[in-house]
Amino acid sequence: MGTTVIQSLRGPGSSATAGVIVDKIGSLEEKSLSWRQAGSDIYRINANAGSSVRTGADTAEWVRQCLKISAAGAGAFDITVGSLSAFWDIGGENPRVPAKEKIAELLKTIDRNTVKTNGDTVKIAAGQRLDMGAVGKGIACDEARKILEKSRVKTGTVSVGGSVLVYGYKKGCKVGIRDPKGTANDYMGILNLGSCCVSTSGNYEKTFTFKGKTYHHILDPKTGYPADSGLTSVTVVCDSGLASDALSTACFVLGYENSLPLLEQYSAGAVFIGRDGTVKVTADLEDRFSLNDSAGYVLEPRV
Amino acid sequence: MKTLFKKADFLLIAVLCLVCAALFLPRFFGAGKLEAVIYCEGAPFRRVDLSTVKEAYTIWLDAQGVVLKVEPGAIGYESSNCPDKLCVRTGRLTRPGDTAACLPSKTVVVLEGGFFRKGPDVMTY
Repeated sequence: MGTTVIQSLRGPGSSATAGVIVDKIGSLEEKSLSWRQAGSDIYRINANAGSSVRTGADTAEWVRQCLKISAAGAGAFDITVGSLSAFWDIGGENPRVPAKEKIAELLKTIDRNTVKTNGDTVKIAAGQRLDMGAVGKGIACDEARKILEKSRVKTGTVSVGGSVLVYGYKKGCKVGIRDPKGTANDYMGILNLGSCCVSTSGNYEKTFTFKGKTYHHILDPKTGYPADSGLTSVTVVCDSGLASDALSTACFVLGYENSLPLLEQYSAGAVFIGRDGTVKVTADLEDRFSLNDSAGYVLEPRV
Repeated sequence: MKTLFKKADFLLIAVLCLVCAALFLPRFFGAGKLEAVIYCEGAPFRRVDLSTVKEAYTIWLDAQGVVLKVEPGAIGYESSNCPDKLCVRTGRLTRPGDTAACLPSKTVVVLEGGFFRKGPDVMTY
């Protein structure tokens, strides 16, 4: 993930617990989720495409959960985009726009049905690559919660690169949603939440500009190009970090209308920010969301 | 019988008290020391009292490949050798309790002290 962890914990032993969480998140990347880190589970799965690879039990289970969400979202979120995302390399050192022929070639490697898991083993098809980047931060939030549940920390928040775990609150934790037009500290609205996980996917997070056109990193597995559903960001709230992270990506690709059944299936709520500056909030979050009036967005009433 | 205060007088006094409170309470309670503690590889490296910073400056952590920007009441990663620069994009830490950790560079910044928290408790982005 190579990401930033911001924690605010209250209760006995909170400093020590914060250290345990940082260590855990670091080892998640090194041992399990990074496709760049030689020796990690995902790296080995990709390096041995076509063969079964024994992984940590957690990694295989995360892959299974991702495949389920992928199926539920009709492939709008798909961890088999690895070859495509690696070629685009948006956010990496050599971002580039693939030729149409290359896109067509890479699209053939995206197929969740060719990923096989059996217990602790994972097998992908030859030429295929997994990319867990869309769920890594959410998984980190889930792991942080497990650590907090064993600690004496009473309440707190853990932000892993903008995916947030709200822990120990019944209500009253104010989670600001980043203003896509502003910096990371500018918020367009606030969600007043109890314990949950919150993830946001936005087209501002990783970008590069080529021949005057700006490309963002959320790729549509159907087209091979950055998703274009009329949104600038989607924030998803649900119990699971993995699910909130995966769903925010899926919803960004699907757009508002097509996302609603998927969100309902996972008992999740969402805040959608449109390119036109309109904001749509799902029914379960309506009473918990307040718009920052100075940010210049318009809250659309739910139909 | 003539009363000393009318109803409107009480209202005026109440409003004046509220205005005074709004003006002066932050002076007493908002002046808490806001200190950034910078850790390198788990050990405290430097403490910076953000409440006394008048002009922005930078702190170079050469061995870690990190540059921190210190501003009045805020601190943040200005640049880093880490792969995706997410620590830089995170922006400024401004509230007591905020802790930022850049895992690849093994650096941590913790904000301690202060009294008031303005805006959200945490940001999603």
